[in-house]
Amino acid sequence: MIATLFYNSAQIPWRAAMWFVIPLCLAVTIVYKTVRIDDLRKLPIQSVMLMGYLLICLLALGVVLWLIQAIFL
Amino acid sequence: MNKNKNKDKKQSRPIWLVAGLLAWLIPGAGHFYIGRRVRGIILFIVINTTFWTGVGIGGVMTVDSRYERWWTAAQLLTGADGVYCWYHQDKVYKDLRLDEDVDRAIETRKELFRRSGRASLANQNSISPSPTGRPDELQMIVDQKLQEMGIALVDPAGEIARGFSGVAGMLNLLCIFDALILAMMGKGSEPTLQIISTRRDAETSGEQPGGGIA
Repeated sequence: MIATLFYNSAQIPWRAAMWFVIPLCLAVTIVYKTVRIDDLRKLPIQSVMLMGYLLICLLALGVVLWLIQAIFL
Repeated sequence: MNKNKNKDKKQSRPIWLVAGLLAWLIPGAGHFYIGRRVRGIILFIVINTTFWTGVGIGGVMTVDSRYERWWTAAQLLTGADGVYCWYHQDKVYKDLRLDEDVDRAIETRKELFRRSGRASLANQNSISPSPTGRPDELQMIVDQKLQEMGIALVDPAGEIARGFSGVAGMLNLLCIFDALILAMMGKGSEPTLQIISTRRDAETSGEQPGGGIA
């Protein structure tokens, strides 16, 4: 089973696809903060805060783009 | 005694080329080499987890150097992981090349280009995207074969897989630059927190802060 895990592709429904942005944002924020931060003890809190900002901005961007396509297209 | 001191000082300064190469080859190894061990371990875990999550979702065709060149360039930034996955998908295409249907489709494509006067394109003897940009018989047969093998990458799994693995590569690029710059500046060790708090105290009391971060 482990051999097929990285060989065959998974079947992911379209509805579930959007949720994958959360772990991706978490990875980005952790790496960015690990590289930039001075005090590693603050890494968890700062990563989560940055992830929150990132997700809110992505959501806002999605809403704006949806409004644009709804109004003009 | 001074000679030994100078020798130690010289030895403790990380070599920027080694830091950069290690940072590319194994995510986090560059930071580990220059002395930032905890950060190196965190970067190793997070970048590798992200990359292999992508490959776990997409399978062996996640790194596709023939049909997804830009994504492959990003994925190869993860170093050994990316090269390993590239090698396996290349092996799949080389095995497919031995298939009769694929061989026939390649010959058909070559013949079409010869007839249309594009002799240079007729020399391609491997599986590759159609130069016209529109899927031709070869591409459709390859897609069909990959589907029969259960390794064809279909959206949204394809988008997610390449997104994860490509982003992991780009994150590693950030880490490579950071390790390189830190090594060039000779700043290997973790920043000293005492100096940071001294600087804060000085700023609140209105005095000039002394020194910088080590």
